[in-house]
Amino acid sequence: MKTSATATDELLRAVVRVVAIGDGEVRVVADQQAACGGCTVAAGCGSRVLASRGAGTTTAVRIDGTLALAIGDLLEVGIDGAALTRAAALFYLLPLLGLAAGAMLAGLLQWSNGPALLAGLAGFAAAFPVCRHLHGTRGAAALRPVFVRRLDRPGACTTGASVIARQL
Amino acid sequence: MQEYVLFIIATALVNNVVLVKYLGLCPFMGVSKKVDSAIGMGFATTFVLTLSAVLSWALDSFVLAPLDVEFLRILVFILAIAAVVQFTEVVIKYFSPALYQVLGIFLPLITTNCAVLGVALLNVQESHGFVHSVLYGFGSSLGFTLVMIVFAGLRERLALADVPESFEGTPIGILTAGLLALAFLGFTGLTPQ
Repeated sequence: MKTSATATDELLRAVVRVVAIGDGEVRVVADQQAACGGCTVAAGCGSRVLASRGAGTTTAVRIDGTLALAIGDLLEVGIDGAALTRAAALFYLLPLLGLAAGAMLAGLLQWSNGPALLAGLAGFAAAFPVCRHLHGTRGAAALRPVFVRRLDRPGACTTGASVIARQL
Repeated sequence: MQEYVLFIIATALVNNVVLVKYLGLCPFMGVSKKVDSAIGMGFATTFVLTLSAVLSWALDSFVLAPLDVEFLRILVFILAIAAVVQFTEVVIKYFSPALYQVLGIFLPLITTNCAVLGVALLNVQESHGFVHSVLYGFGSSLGFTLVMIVFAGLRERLALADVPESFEGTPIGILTAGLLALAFLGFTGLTPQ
């Protein structure tokens, strides 16, 4: 059997680049990666190319730390995978459950399509404040990236996956 | 209520969108190397696919059919899916910027996921009402997420196994997907649909 260095790692890791240095914090951006990974090695399906052209393709996060960093340094940051899964389930699934509940309630009451649509939308909209309340500040804090390590400056390729692969 | 539960089971398992209808194979193969990615992609797709099915049903029922322009379905549905993806980006960014930063990478890929368009088209072709449109979209996306996570778990284990060199990577992945599709054929006849 082969072994995996990250088999028991609970942090989801990403490579980010320092763009600004503040008091006790640095501001970083993450290179937009292709979701499937294929575009990082070849032309692929082009989703990464399209994403890099759009607005908001780079994301800025703040991380704690008083390291001697320079702008352009590459860092590896991680976030709690379990917290991410909980947040994703909360924000993606709960509104849909509200939509389905409203629709099924209308169906059980034998409403026509128009009122049923309104009932479904009401359930969908009502779920978002609930999500926000359940997520709260603790949930937001759990999604805050933590510093893992500083990486050497890479060569030509700057995609996160290839940088990590070189470091391992 | 029992009818609704059976309907969701039928769409998620018996008529699974990936392994029975063979839709959405690109993300199925591409984003299934790690369970974490598969979960993120699956949840995001669930959200977009269900809303797209509902929105496309509403557009078909209230706009295209009354105007007798059903031949514009594909064009209109593609625009509807793009709108839903943008709406999802805005909503998630507003309610949880941190979640958007991490899972936002999946949203552009969903726009080109043929399963989203396929489910929207199949939904209107089967003449569902609103309630069944919601359940059809929700069940299909649950089935998509389920096979994504199961397949990602299998591939994580395969990555640690001693696979013959010529089968490493994609070949063993495709073989595994085929075996998984055969397994899902076992659900045939589970529901009366």
